[in-house]
Amino acid sequence: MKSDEVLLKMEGICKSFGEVRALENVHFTLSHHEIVGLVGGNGAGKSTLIKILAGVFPPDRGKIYLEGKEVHFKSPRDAYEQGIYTVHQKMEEILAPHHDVAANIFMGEEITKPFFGGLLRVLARREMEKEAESVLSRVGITIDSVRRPIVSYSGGQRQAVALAKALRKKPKILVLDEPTAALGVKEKFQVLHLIKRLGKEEGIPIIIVSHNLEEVFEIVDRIVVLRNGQMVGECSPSLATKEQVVQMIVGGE
Amino acid sequence: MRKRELLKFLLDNSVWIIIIVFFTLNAFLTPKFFTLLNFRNILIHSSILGIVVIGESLCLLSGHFDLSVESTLALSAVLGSMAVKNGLAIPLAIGVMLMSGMLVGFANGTLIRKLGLNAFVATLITYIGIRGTALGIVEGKTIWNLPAAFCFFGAGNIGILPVQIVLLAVLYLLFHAVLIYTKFGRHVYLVGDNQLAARISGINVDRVVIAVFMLSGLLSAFAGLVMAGRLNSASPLFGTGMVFEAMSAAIIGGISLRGGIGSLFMALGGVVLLSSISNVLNLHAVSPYWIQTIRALMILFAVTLDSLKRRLVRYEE
Repeated sequence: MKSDEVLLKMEGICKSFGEVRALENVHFTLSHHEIVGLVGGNGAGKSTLIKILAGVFPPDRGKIYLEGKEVHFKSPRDAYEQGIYTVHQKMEEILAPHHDVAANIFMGEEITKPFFGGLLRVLARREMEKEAESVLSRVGITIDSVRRPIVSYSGGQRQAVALAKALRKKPKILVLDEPTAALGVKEKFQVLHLIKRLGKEEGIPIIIVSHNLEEVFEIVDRIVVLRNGQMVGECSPSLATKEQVVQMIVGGE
Repeated sequence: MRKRELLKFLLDNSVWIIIIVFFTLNAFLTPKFFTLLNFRNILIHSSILGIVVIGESLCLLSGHFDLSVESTLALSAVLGSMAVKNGLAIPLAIGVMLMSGMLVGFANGTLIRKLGLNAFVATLITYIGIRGTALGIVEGKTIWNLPAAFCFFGAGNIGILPVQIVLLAVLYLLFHAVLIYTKFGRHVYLVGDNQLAARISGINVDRVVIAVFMLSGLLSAFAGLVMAGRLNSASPLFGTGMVFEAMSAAIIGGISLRGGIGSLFMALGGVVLLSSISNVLNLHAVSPYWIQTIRALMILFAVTLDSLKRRLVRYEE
């Protein structure tokens, strides 16, 4: 597979909520091995666009192509099964707080082993713990025990677990919605570093939604700017300045 | 850190520790308490409530609750007794009873998951409606004198052990194993802990919740069979008010009303503790009416312990 081949193409996406036109004729593409930053002010349509991609609701008009084939997502589950994995700003949306790290990483896909001569199947706890540890260490996440519940870990560690959960599935596309918004400065830095590693070393295509230009410039290959539901520009962080991007976001001439 | 873990262990097992303290104290303070015969009484007294509590705990663990358990119990007792009185073979009559329980549970689960009612409203409907159905079928009358074989589960013995105690032990072990060792059990906990995350992660929440309510109905119906056997009769008023007792026992045992936290073994502790308290009040000839007040204090104590436990495990800077 060529690395510049288009992995995801969203074409002419429109979405209205009653009178409000959230997205108007938006075109968006993502290539293999690419990290794209989706930026824009409040109400620019960033979250609407990724929610459509995550299967939360369908677009009014427009088509989505994944690896050249048209796809229709009826539910978040559909998108997930096609390999589009979304991690939201609040870990509460993806983790079970009172379950341990291993149980969370394997949520919904628990490994079982035969018991009683294969008549019954029981959870293979040891195996899941081992694999959870290996996923975590592969991405360089340090967590002292996969047996401790999520509530006992910090916000950054929870995000890391959420990412590890996504990685075990080997997603085709990882969508990160404001992944650092709820974190402190030090943790923000750690999570950004982790995301960069995932994109560069593991080669996972990532769409990162953010309104923090600082961090977008730090990690992405391409910036896409939305304003009032329309795509108003895109640029490479190595060629543009933050001031230019801010101009695009606020729309001043 | 060590001290913290010890404290957490003590809080996690608080019910059984309280039971040990309670039994030790009463061994000295209450005559006739610390005898095998009395323990047998306590366990027999625990059996029907204990079986209902398994179902209620499943619902609570999945983040829901079931008000209809006591009505299901009464309907099952009445239906089964009517059936045997009208000449239906006993195994078939028992089949009818268990089926009725599963149907009520299926109705609860469907009202909640497919119609989007909240658990309180959905099970309030069946709580009232099923009690009414039980009353209507027999026009409020009690059915007496059931066949001895039908009463086996409520009054029989296996060797020297009453069947009720054996049932209690077997059902708790079975459902405890289901919750801890199977994928289904894990999903019950996960749905209770974070329903949205469970759904996103591909767990079929509808199926889990409907199954949980069907199990709750099944167990309540089975408790109806035990009660009819124990009393050699079936009344449409069986189990009146039992749902509150069942919830108390589960909460005292540390099962969280918010779902996802607790264990069946602790819920059993809650049942045994409640039975032991009313047993002691009995032995001291205290009016049984006071049991409500004591139960309220126990619940208050249990939820206080619960919040303390939460604070212990939570992440702090």
